[in-house]
Amino acid sequence: MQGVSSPRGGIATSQSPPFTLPMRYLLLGVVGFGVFALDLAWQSTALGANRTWSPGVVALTHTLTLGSLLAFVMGAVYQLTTVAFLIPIRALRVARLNFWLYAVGATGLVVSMAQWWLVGMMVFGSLTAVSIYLYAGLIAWSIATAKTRGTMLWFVGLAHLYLAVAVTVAWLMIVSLQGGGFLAGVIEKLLWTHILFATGGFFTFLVMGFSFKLVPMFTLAHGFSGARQTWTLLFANLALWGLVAGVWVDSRLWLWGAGVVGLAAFVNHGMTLFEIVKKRLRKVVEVPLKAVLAAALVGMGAVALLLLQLGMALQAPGWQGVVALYVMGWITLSVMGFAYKIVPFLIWNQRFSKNVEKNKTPMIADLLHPHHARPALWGFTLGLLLLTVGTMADWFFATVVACVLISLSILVFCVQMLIVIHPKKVIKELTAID
Amino acid sequence: MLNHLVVLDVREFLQAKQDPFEQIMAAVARLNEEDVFELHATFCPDPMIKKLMTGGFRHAWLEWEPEHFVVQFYKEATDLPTFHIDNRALQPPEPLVRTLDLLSNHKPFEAGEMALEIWNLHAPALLFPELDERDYQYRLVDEGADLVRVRIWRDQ
Repeated sequence: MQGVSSPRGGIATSQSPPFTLPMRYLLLGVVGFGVFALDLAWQSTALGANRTWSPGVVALTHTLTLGSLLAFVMGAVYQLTTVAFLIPIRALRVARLNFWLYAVGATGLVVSMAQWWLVGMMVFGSLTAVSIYLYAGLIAWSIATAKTRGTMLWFVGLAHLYLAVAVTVAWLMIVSLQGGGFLAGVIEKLLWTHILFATGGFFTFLVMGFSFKLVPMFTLAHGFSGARQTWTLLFANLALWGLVAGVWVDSRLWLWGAGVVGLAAFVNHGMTLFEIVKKRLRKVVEVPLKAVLAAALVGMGAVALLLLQLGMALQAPGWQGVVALYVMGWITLSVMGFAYKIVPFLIWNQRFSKNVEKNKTPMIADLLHPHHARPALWGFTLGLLLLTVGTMADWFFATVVACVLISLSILVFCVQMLIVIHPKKVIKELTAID
Repeated sequence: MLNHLVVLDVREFLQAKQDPFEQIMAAVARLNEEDVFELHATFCPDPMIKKLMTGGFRHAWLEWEPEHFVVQFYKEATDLPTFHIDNRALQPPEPLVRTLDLLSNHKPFEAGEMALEIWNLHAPALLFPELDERDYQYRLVDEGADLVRVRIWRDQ
């Protein structure tokens, strides 16, 4: 006799943050994507002519990473953390105020970069750093209370640790640009360390970790094994630290070894995702989810390209091709793919979820049908492949055409997001709730 | 008042040829008006159903597996017998998977003889397209205080 119980948990508190918290970041991310798209088209000739270290291109890169990707990801993390770990976000008021600190800091930093104004970079860089530390701290504090302690928690926790490291290294770089002794001598190593912790650390760990929740959620998959996830976590960590070590000891062998382990991480991650998709209840894999799967393949391709680049001549265009393919193909395509599912979901939840009745209430697909993601996502992928070829082969025409194609695809994405969000309505909602 | 699914499993009592009547009545006595009482037994307990119906309860039952019957008692007036599940402690996508599993594995739902009511923390937005595809009707009511009730049924 088992007695009387309420095995399905009975009372649980609602964990989701107020709509305004994730939505502000997501909105900033969409605006950031739009600015990036326009600037990419504007800078396409500079990129085609291989002027990748010009202030304009440095600012362009950070418009993507800080203005679009990080802003978008922070919004998504505030929402998804509560769903994935069934915990509330700590210090919500701080999180809400931190948005303004981040928006001002990141905007000022990108503008300062474009002008190569060192004082501005120092001031706004410091503001951005403080804001990112606050964000990472809040997430770490929130997930520390999670009762569900699986591989995903490690991915998300480490991602935020690596974000803090990437920001610290970036800040040290800005200090070294002011003429700081020892640091000035290692600025290239600092740059690679920053790139590695930001892309291979934060974004990679976060995309991988949340994929284990989001892909089953959007395909309605269950009954798959989670055993491979632990190996992916191990390989991804070994690869990251191996690459950083390789940069600092200046060893191509270290870099190559770490690259091989990185490839193993991506192969493992890809196999995990395909296994999840195979165990789905939904008949059709929607276009945004296909893009997420494609992004994992592109990530694999980028690491393979890294190995090829290490095995051949270590010339600048090749490295730029690898970084561009990794940042845009793996990270950006994943974020865009998930955005097509997350943004309509949040908006529907805010506007239509109170009383739902068949044929009377709009469904998520009525806001934005997943099929409509096709032109933006596949146009972006095509442009990206062309950009990689153009950059690596130092082919001006291909690079310019690729930049324009990517730019147009992102603009389509932005317009679709704005149609779903409906700026007039969302401004009313954001101001009304506050 | 939050709804609770109060579960009592008396199969071991029945297998040991003991009478679980007192335990059942004690559990029933502790129910709130909105609660659902879920009884697990080795057979469909008709006498107990009759007894509780005289006390104003309605009921719905499913044969979970051979010699495992789940009978639910509730007071809310419904046009179809209604089976309830509480998904509030489950992580996505488990609430959706569990709901779809239940609908597809039990004939009374497919035949339109029984409705399913799920209790979620949030509106299960991703469930509705699946229900559309399977030709189910649904109605969601957000009760506030972390309870969203979705009633799912098929027109006969």
